[in-house]
Amino acid sequence: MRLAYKNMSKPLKISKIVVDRDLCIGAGPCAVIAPEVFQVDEENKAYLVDMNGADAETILAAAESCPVKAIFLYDEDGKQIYPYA
Amino acid sequence: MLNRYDFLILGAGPAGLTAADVLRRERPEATVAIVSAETHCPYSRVMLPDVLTGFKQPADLCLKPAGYFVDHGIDFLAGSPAVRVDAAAHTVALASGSVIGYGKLLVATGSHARRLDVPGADLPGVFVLRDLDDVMAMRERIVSDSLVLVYGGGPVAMELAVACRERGANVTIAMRGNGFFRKSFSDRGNEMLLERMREHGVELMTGCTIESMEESGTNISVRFGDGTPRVFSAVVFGVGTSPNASMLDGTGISVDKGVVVNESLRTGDSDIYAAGDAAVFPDGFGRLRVAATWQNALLQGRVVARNMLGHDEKYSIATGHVVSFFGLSIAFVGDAENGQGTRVNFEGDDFSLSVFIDDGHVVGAACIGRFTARAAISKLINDRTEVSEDLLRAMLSA
Repeated sequence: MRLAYKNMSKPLKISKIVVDRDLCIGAGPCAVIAPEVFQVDEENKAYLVDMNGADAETILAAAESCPVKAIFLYDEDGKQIYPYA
Repeated sequence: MLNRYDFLILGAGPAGLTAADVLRRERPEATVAIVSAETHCPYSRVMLPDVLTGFKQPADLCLKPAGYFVDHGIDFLAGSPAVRVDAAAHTVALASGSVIGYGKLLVATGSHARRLDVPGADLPGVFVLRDLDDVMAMRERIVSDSLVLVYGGGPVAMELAVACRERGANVTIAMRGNGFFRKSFSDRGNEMLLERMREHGVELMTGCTIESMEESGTNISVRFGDGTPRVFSAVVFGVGTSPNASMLDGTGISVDKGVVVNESLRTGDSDIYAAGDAAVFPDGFGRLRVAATWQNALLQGRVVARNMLGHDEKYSIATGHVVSFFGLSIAFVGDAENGQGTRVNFEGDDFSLSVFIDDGHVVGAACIGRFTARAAISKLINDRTEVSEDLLRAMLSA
């Protein structure tokens, strides 16, 4: 019998969010998953609305949903959380 | 003994990966496995053109960090596609010969790129753009000064043209119709697209068919419908996709342009679900359709996983996607590529917007260039707001 999986992740703290507009193609899943944090503008590029608009898990899910990895997340020490190295 | 999983997912794209993640989070004690036809780490197909140009390396496309599957207790069964589902026995046979049992099955196998049915369509040097192996093969063949023929009038043809130009190749786009996305845009919109292509050195051949192709030294000689032969270094088809659904043959599950599901993303078999590009679902306006976009696959992955866990969530959201080429972007929301309903056009100096109204509702929109009404139109679609053409004109010109 398999053991139930253990959640390996540490508590997540996001201190900085950067959307790279050159990479962004406006696919828009970030704005569906975390609409209080990300929106898409008239040039079909995502932009940051409010970095405190959702919890860290939701923001990570929004960043992970980007098909071109245009959303960068950093922790308090300035270390890149996402995209994963 | 038969290997059996509570939740078995076929396909490691955005639908399958998202579903696995939700299943794992919400049911920690359940057994979950993903079957992937490819051996690569699951990757973003959206970034494939960046690998062709050399801007990205294959590893950059990975969607999950190393160790993800082990850490999350998800078995990742890579390298062999599912070939047959036995719905009565609740088993799936893989091409490798293994047979896997399931409690609930998700078909998130996506689609494959079609080729034209003409002699020579399978020659080396004739490609489709669908997976990493396709792109790596193209990289060998398409270099600076290559002559590349791209055949098609859709997003893949556009993205390929850009990637090949960035690689320094000369590009000809040939298509049967007289422009890109002809069901979506006005003549003026179409001219904007063609003009931008020409400005960037792409040769365009409209109203064009291919008769046959043959090898000519290291090149491909293409005979067009009018009898003209021309020689290219490589030919790439961007002529659409077909769902990967043949593993359901014999199950009685309905497949028509995709695996037919209800609004809960369940097939006619109560233990088999489908999501993403492989699924045909009711769009909330009384039609069944495929929405072959990243956003749709991801969001369906979330909903289908919850339904596999016993919830009954309806999927009804107008997803969108964007195609960018040579600095011009084309945004689609809802159903704007199938020519459904009446097209209402709005033209400006820096945009061409088409809104589709069917039976008193906005069902989709497509916009070349500046798209100020994106949020407003998405809301009209999602809220199923009743709207006439006159009302729409009044709203959007305000």
